[in-house]
Amino acid sequence: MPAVSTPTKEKASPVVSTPDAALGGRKHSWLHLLLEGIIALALVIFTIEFLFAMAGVGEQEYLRVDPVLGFCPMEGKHVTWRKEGNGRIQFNSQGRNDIERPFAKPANAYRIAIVGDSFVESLQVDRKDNFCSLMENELNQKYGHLGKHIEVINFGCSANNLGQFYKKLHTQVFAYQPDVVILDVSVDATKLLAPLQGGFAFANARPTFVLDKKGNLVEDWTVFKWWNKTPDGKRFAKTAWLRQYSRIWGAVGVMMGGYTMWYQDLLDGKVWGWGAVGQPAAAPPPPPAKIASAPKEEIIVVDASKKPAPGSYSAVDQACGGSTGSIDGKGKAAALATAAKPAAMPKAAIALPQAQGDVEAATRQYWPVADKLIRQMNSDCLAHNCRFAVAHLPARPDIGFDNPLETSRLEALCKTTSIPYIDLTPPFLNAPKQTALIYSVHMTAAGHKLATKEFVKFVEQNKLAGN
Amino acid sequence: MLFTSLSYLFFFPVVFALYWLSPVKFRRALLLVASYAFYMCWIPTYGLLLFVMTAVNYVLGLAMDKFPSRVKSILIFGLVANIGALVYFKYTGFLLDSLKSTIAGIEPWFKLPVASQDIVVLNVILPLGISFFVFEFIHYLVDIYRGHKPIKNLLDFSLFAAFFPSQIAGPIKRFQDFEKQLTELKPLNPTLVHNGMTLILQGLFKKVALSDNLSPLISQGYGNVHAMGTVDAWLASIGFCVLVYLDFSGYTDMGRGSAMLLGFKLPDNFNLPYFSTSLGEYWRRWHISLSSWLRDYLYIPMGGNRVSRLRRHINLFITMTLGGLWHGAAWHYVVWGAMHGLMLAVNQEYDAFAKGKPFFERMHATVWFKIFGCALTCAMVNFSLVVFRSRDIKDALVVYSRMLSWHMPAGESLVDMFMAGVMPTAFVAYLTYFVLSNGDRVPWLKDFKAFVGSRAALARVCGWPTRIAVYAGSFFAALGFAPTSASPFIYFQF
Repeated sequence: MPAVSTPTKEKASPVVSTPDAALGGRKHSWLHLLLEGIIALALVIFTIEFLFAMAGVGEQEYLRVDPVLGFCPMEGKHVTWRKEGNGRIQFNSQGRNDIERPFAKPANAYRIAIVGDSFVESLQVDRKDNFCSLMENELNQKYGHLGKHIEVINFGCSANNLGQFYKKLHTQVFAYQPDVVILDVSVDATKLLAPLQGGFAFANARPTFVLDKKGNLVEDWTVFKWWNKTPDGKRFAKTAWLRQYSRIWGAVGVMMGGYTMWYQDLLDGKVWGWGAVGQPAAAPPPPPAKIASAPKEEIIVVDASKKPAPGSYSAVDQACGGSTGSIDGKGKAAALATAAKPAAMPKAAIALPQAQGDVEAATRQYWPVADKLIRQMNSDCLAHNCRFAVAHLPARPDIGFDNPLETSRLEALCKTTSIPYIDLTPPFLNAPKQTALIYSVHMTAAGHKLATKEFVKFVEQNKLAGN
Repeated sequence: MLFTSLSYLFFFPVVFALYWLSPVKFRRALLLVASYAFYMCWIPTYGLLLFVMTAVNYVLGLAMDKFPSRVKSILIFGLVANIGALVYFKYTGFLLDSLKSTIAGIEPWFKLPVASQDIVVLNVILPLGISFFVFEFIHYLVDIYRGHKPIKNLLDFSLFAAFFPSQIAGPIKRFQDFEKQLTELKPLNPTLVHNGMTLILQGLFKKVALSDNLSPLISQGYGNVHAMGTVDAWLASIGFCVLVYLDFSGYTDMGRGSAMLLGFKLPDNFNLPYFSTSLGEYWRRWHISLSSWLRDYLYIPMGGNRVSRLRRHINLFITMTLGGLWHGAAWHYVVWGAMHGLMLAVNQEYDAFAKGKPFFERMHATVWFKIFGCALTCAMVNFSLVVFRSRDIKDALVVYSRMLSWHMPAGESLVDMFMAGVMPTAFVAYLTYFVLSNGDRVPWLKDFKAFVGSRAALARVCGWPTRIAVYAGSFFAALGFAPTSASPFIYFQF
């Protein structure tokens, strides 16, 4: 008889019925673990980037370093702004909160360029609800029958000062051949001409202007150059790609901001409920290089009538010139990169006065510069066959967060030079529900509607709509 | 210190590391020091209150064991001391304010020895967690009276009272279970770490990503009830039901997860309460540690189910009303508790009526009746929470009127606010996670063998690198969705 081997009972492999039972069980090779880690991390990053993109999380960083203006918004960037209001927009290929528009002005177009700061940029509301879009719709409804299509172009950028407005006029605005330029001045415009030395943030790394002894405008890049050499500035440059494309990075930025505030509270003893922890205070940032005063040095003269010197504003303007037709974003960037190198820093110029923190003091010190810039912008616009107007936008009038010195001087300047001028503060103050018009600083959707109404009236009264 | 604060993010890993690196004999002392540091970082002097109450209850417990003939009087003294402390810190202002209002109401008609303006309403700062640790002390004393042995070791008893994962907002622990865990300290193992981390991250997401984003919307609605339309009123009321669950269960998860990482298992406080098919079942699934405490130390001593039906309903009504009062020193909490007392009594009457009747038993077994029961329970909870959340009874009545008759909104629509924020995405993400992780607890999902099997297969393939990546991802997701300003934890005020 053949041997009959009794079948051996196989041990049933343990059934893993719950995920927990698998913990600490099977051992994997290091290669398996490495591959698993990489794949898992990639999947997790992809999933979170997807979720954040759906929810608009980590989309609040949108400025990049710019060699011409100091900083500017990232082209094509999606921005979700929830600090005030709730706006979800995408910057166009020129880095503006606006639709795409050709540089070459269409034959039947009438262009009104609005130059300003965050009040014009209007990230707090959707694009269709900001006053530029509303103005365009309303003006076209009223005057579209005259055969012209009115375009209201938004050139707003957060934290810009008057000096940056001036540079933008030559490097961007005139490229669109506007018929009208309206300069929107808010409470910060003059104050931001003062270079800051403490409490540094990226948006303070901007060019500014001073006046030489002959009263000419002198451009100053000290603070910008200093900041870009600091560890923060270098980190900014290295992480540009992440800041542009990664929402996780954007969210981490917010978390780091929260951590910094917590750490400061910890140093101040506010975290633990008793005394200071005894940590040393953080070292202050080094001051920027001080410019000695010496009268006989080369200076930059900004004069549109003269042949533009290489690297001057006019050269950049011509490089981007609208008469040559539309230039795509890359071409424009290339033109800016080659032609718009800032002029060499004067070896010595007037020492920069410091007026950080005190708005009135800064206004007094820098008003002559602001005055000169506005006059220069006016004459430059006239030289480019476009009209120039000035508007004053309210910040938060209900608590007097305004700059009466700047406002009064601005009004007087416009009167003297016959520049059409509108101050939107009184209509906001007189509105029945003022607190519904402004968030903590910027306008709400209702505020934009009121601003539109006032702007349309202003434009009509001063014949700025081609009417 | 909140579990969701940066301070805790640094505090807990230090405690965790020190705990597991230190010799076993030092671990309890270390936890006690950490617990007092955790408590005292808010108002340091209230650490003294906790210490004094701990010492008093410890001595009373030992005295009850040592002097059995005097056990009742010692118990009464202990109850008076604990309840007295709770009443002083929590209800002084409320009682004085109510007395002042009452006297102001009747003094035009009656000559009283005291005028209403003579009554000074004291505002006593409520020590964090007092409602929870007082209830733990009361449970301790009553259980010793019932024959349990007290905790002899002062260190163990102090740790029972001060244990930081459950100190501020529960769950209300039972000393027998906690003492047993202290004597059988578990070693660190992967399962403990995984379960603990999962609970912490789950709780963090519920609290900061979901609850903190929902809170301003609910506050906007309830802060201006006259501006709400009908849709907004329903959204605000349902939203608050969801909010209070996410907020409280999220915080509890973080506490339980922290305890688990230290080798302790705290009692579960929530068991999918909104899947309950009756109100009785809801209270067996919602804030389980409180409802079981109320049952064991209030309802049962009053007679429980051993008395007549009418007396049983009265006892239930009193228990739930006092449970409402426990939640806050305000009349609308009392009304909320009373509403639940009434609804539970009706529920009990129905159960008594349906018991033994084949028709009802067949009907109760159907899926449709279960769905109906769940919907009805949620509706009852929803309606009662309107009173709980409103500033006062008047506001609650306005909300009810908005819910039950058509009104247009006068301000910004809450629906628009909800859709404009991160909440839709965050909720979808959480629901996906919930289905994947709780599939075996949800009735219709657990029947899918393929679903359960695929989760097991995934777990077999994935090891620690995947878990670490998922932990990190969950952490960043929670913080990314979190609003810039955190909302206070709702149950802190209790």
